[in-house]
Amino acid sequence: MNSRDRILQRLRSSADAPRPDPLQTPCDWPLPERSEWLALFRQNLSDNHAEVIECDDNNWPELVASVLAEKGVSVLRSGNHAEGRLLVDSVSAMLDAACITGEQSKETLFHQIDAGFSVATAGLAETGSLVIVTGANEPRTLSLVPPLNIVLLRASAMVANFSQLVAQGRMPSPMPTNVLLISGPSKTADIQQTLAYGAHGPKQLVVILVMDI
Amino acid sequence: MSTQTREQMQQQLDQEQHDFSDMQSRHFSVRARMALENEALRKSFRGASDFLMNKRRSVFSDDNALQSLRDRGEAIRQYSLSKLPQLLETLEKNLTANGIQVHWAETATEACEIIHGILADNNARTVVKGKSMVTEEIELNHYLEEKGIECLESDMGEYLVQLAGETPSHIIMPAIHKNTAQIARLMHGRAQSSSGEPVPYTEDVDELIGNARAILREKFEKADAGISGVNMAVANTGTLCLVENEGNGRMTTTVPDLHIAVTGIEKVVEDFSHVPELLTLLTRSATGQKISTYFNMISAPRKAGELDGPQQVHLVLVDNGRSKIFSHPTLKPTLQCIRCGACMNHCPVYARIGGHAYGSTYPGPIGQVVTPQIGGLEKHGDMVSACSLNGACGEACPVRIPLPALIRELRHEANRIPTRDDSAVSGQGVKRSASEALIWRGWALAHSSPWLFRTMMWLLTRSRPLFRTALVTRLLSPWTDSRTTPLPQTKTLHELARAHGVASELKSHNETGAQR
Ligand code: SF4
Repeated sequence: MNSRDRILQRLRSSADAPRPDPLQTPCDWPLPERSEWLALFRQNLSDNHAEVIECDDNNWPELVASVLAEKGVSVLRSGNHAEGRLLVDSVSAMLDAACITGEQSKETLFHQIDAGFSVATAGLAETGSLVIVTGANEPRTLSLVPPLNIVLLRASAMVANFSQLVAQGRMPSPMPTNVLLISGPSKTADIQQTLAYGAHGPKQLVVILVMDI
Repeated sequence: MSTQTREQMQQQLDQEQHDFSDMQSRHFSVRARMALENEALRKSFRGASDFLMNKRRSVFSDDNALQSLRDRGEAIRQYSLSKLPQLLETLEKNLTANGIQVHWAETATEACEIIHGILADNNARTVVKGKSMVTEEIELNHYLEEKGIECLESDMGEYLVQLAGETPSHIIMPAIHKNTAQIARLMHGRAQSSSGEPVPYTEDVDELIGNARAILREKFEKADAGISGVNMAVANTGTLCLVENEGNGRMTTTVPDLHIAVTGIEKVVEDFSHVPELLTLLTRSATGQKISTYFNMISAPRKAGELDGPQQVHLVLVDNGRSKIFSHPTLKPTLQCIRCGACMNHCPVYARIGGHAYGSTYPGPIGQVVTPQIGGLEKHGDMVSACSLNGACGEACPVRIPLPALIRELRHEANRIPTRDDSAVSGQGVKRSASEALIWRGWALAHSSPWLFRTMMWLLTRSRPLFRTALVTRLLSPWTDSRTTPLPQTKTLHELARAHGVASELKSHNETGAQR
């Protein structure tokens, strides 16, 4: 017998009768009201040091352009999706912007990209979280390595919280390589409980909230 | 600015590291006393405990909601454990189907060997680590260093602790025992950029973090492999979930070509629908955050067409005593733990002696419960006594582990006449002493015989002057060294009640026909 079989055998020999479905245990954790979702989402993100910019379906590339200008971004990279292409088209006159279609060297990734642009597939009001489903057109590192991360979210994609997202079957299935919940810029409180932003990941997170409802 | 030169700081750091190893080599009671006498340390822990307790309270303002969420959390963990062997098999099947390679380790050594084997197969010489208590438990860094593999901790707190040559003093905030001035000295005295330059001295937290960030980002960029822990593994989808704020966990699991995740076998849940409530409980209980900055769900290595992510992902499932805990009729709930650290934040003993006094990977109440079961009561039996059974940990635990009851059970295990059960905790009975057993036997007898009890009480109340003699003071010294000597009252409670005409007292007195 190998380790696997020995471990499993020991567990099986002392397993109890299966318990009832735990989701039958009542849970009165309050769900935020739909009318409060947007306000709550914004509040949570700003409490976590992220900026939230409201815009509409037409003017968002312009608003992102002004954020990029204000923050002095000279190199922007995006995943290869419709929103990314739209953004790249509208800012490429003023800076080096492109959608990534091939693997970036680590050197480029760590030293040459000022900002990464990603699109969230859902937002969680209760916690101010962005759900990002990564994949060939949404690289994992763009929301991690560059010092500035800009994430677009459509207000129509908001749900109350993570439980609701899962309960409504809105987690991708089958699960892709990597799914993320992002709720602020990278931070740490490991030095005497003092908060510092930009621990290892982005120092700044800007959320572009497209008000499509 | 500091008045010390860098050389002086280095000398002081060497001294502190020496003191640390010295402390760790001593007996538990000596460590505890040393910690109690260290003002700066006590201040750090008091401050951190108060801070974390307040933060937790602020995100659980509605007590009904909290209690009901704890019910759900407990139900999920108990359900998962009740199906543990099946869930592990399902997890293995789905991870394998997703392209993640699964390994099983019965012991700490086997886990280290497996991890080293994977690294060696891939010719990996430099490793960055995300925060993982299991790898502390199996002492992986030490093992890999002996094999010539550099293993760098990347969680800020873990990085600082590693730089100091110490071990974490808290499972969530590893460097909680250090204040900013100490960390400033540590960074200036020991941290180096890749070109070997020291970092400038600063006590500014943003600058300190910025300096560490610069050093560590370079390591992420160059590392051959990343090793991380796992907070939850979802069986039905074959997903590894990681909770973190800093982004080092994502770096570790995304940037190097090889990712090795290490977890205890108890961390598995059946379905994604069991994840959200546990996540809510975990971050709110741990640091008082509604959610952590990142919740990272990994289900596969890089797929064709994807532009980043590791080419290989491995999961090492570590038993190291857990399947034995699983077989213990009373101690099994130990495995419900989601490692939030709330029990230590709320423990009055931990707040005073700090994490290092326990001399174990896991300190505080959960440490007192886990450590003797993994490492044996022979070695870790003393820490079980460092508890006043005040119950604060049990009240705070998000998954309702009855920690005080488990600590009591371990005391019983340590003091009982050894059984030969398979489930017996290693070192069962090591604390048993004939005189203590005799005292308890007498105590039990006195409490089951009314006349004996009354006689004993009468004698005690009449022997007040004895308590002022040197002999009794010496006998009671473990208690009275730092407390005033307790004096018995002049009359027993029964006598007082009778004098006040309490009806039941008069009745029972007549019925039992007590002598006095
Ligand atoms: S025992 Fe409970 S409170 Fe302590 S770390 Fe585990 S889950 Fe948290």
